[in-house]
Formats: sequence, structure tokens, C-alpha cells
Amino acid sequence: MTYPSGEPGVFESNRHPCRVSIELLREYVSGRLGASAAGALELHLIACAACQQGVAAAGGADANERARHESTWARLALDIEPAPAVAERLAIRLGLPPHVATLVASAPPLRTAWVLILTALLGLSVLAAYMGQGPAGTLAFLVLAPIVPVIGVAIAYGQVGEPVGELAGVAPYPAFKVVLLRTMTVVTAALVPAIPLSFLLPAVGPSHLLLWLLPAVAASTTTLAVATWIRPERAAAFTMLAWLAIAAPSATRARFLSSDELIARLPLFQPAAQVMFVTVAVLAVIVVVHRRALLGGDPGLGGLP
Amino acid sequence: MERTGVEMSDVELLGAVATGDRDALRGLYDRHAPWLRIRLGRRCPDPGVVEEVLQDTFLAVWRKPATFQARGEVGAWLWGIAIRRLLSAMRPRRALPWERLVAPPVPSAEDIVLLDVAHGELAHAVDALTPELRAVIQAVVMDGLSSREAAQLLGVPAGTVRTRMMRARTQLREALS
Repeated sequence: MTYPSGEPGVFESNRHPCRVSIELLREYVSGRLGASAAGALELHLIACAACQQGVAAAGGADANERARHESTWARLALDIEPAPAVAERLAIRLGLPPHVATLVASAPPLRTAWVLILTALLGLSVLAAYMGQGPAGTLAFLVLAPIVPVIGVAIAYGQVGEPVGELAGVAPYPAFKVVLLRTMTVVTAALVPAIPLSFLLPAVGPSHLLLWLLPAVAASTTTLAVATWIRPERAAAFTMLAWLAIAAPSATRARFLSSDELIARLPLFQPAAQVMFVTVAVLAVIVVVHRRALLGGDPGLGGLP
Repeated sequence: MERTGVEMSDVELLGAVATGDRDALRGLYDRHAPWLRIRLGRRCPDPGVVEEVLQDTFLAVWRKPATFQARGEVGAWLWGIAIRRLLSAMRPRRALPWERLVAPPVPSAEDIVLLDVAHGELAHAVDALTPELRAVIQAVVMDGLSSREAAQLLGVPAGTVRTRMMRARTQLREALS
């Protein structure tokens, strides 16, 4: 057996030492190689990394070939989805299928900023609770914390024209599932930083976590329930106003009390109120399950039952 | 054309593609698109169609990397996707010019590639076939297509592929005995 030209093993790699010569690969690439030899080489090329690289190098010498390679990649890059964000990779690592992860993690660019701002606001309330004499900081925290996830939901659906909003409309899942997944993501993202902050409140220890967590859950589920009638961002606004209306009378009385008295006396923080929040949450869940077909439909149809 | 992932194995790159790693897809593309391009080009004379098929193939890799079975070669899997994409890209069927489908034989070449003597004899026998029969052998034996798929690629009825395949087998057997 002879190797007429080109040193054998020019493309020897560490893994795949190969005896096929560069000259032969060039003949193949240029179309000068006979049918049977080309056929045999093609079978060999399937598995030989060294020869694959050799063909790439032989073709890469041709400017047209290189241009085709790059322009096809450019068109391919337009077809494939944008690189997954950190949150998306995290969701994939947690076991979500990639397409669900995309849905969960994709967010209007402003959403992250808003969650940060709201968290900072909660942090300021904590600071105020320490520095001020009165209960204003504590009260601000307890009133603000339940609506943070609701604001998150409003922002998540606020921009109708943004791509993910449209994705929710055209995704091959029940719209219900999309809305639920995204709402849960938003609510989780909003609550996670609020929980450790609430532990820092001077008057609110771990046992008082329920003071704001229950209203938060009630407000979030109510938002979803109302969203079966009107658009999610309006449902969120409705829930926020309702919560502020409930909390406002407490706020007017708060200036005469210390933080401890605030929690001990205000009706908003009594067991009866907490039972009410649980009831509201349960009712809201029932409504959502019952009317799930109407959730996250075409926003243009919002308001129609 | 060498970018990231040059030192990773195909299977490792495919695993990274499954997590949404674009660089890994680029690595696979740089490694495999060149030989796929040449091989497809020998079966389809239109470079535009070949590039479309390549784009489709790697888009399929990006969307469904999990369809690769852990056993077997990534290269074989890619070729399987590419040749079938080529078939659907070539609908509606039209006959291909034979001379583009099968390059003219170069007698000196086969003993370079075919590493044992028996293989060499087979190569002579294959080269001695008429272009029609050789194209059928190429499509059915080397590309692993069904007779229906081969018929589509070659623009002839499936029955013709089967009879040509039988004739090719007989001629090869005679040449080798």
C-alpha cells in the first residue's frame, strides 16, 4: 500500500490517529475522488475526528466555503433562542425542562429592577423601625410586604407588547399553566428577600411571620382569581387598592402606639383577621381552579366572562 | 473555524447543547458542518439547498438534542438528520443529473482509502457499475436510506430502486467471485 502524496497522519490527533492522507481528503473535498473511494471515506468520516478536522481545513482554505459556513451559522443563530439567562440555567438545574425554564425565567427587563426597588423599600422600612421612635417603620413593612408580590405580578404582565407576553399567548401550553408558572415565579422572587428582612424587624420575630405572609398569600391568590375576569395587571391594581383600603384605618391609629402595641392591638394583626386572610386565599384558589380556562386568555377579551 | 469546545467530545458538547449552551452548538457546527456540507453537496447540486439543510439540521440538534441515543456516533446521528432533511427539502421530486450525484471514478484513489485487499476488490466492482446502479448502492448501502427514501433522493419510483438494487447485488457478486 502506498501513500502517493502528503504525509500519512498529518491530521493525527491524540484520540484518533488516522492513516488517511491530506491529499486524499483534498481530492474528496474537490470532488475528484471516485465513487467507491468517496463512499468509503464518507463512512470513515462519520466517526473520525481527525479526518473531519481535515475536511474542515481543506474546505476552510476556500473563501467561498468559509463565507457559506459563517452565513449559515448567522442564519442559524437567528433561529435559535437567545442565550439562557442565569435564572434560566438555575431553573434547568433544578430539574425544569428547558422550554418551561425559558417561560419561567423570561422576564420584562424591568421586572428584576422593580423587585430590587421593592426589596430596598422593605429594607428602608426595617431601618426606619430601628431609627424612628414610633411604629411607622414596622407598620410600613407589614403593609408593604403583602403587596410586593402583587406589584410583581402587575409588572410581569404590564407590558402587553413585550415578547414574553406574546409568548404566553402563543405558547403550546394551556395559558393557565403559563400564567400560573410565571405568577409563582414572581411571587417567589418577591417573597424570598422579604422573609429574612422581616426577621430583622425589631418587633416582628419568627413567630410573627404570619402577620404579613398570610396577607401576601391572600393578595396573590386574589389577584389570580380577579385576573379571570379582568387583565392581570388590572387585577393586581384592584388587589393592591383593596389591601390598602383594609390597612388604612390601622395606619391612622398607629401613631399613638408603640410597635409592640401595634401588633397586639390592631385588628389587622389579630387571629380573626388571619382567619379571614386564609379564607380569602382558599376562596380565591377555588375560583382560580374553577375558572382556569379564562385565565391568561387574550388580553383584548379582558372583562368578558 | 475553531472556537470553543474544540477539546470536548461530541457527546459532551451535545450534553451542553441540552442545557441551552450556544457555544456548544457552535462547536458541533464547526466540527461537523464542513464534512456534512461536502457529503450533502455530492447528493444535491444546489449549494443553496445544502446550506438550508445544514441550518435545519443544526436547528433540530438545538431543539431536540435528547433524540441522540447514547450508543452510536454523533456523526452518524447528524448524517441521519441531514440526509432526511435533504430528502424533504428536495420535494417536489425531480431527477438529479447523475454526473453530479456520483463523481467520475479515479482509479488510483481507492487503494489509498480502502485499507484491506478485499475492500479494494469491492471498490473496483462498485466503480465498474453503471452510474444508475452505483447511485442506488450509495443511497441504500452507504447512506442507509430505505428504498422509498432512496427513490425520492434519486427521483425514480421505489420499485425501480429495488430492481436496480437487485441487479447491482448480482453484478457485485459476479465481480467478486
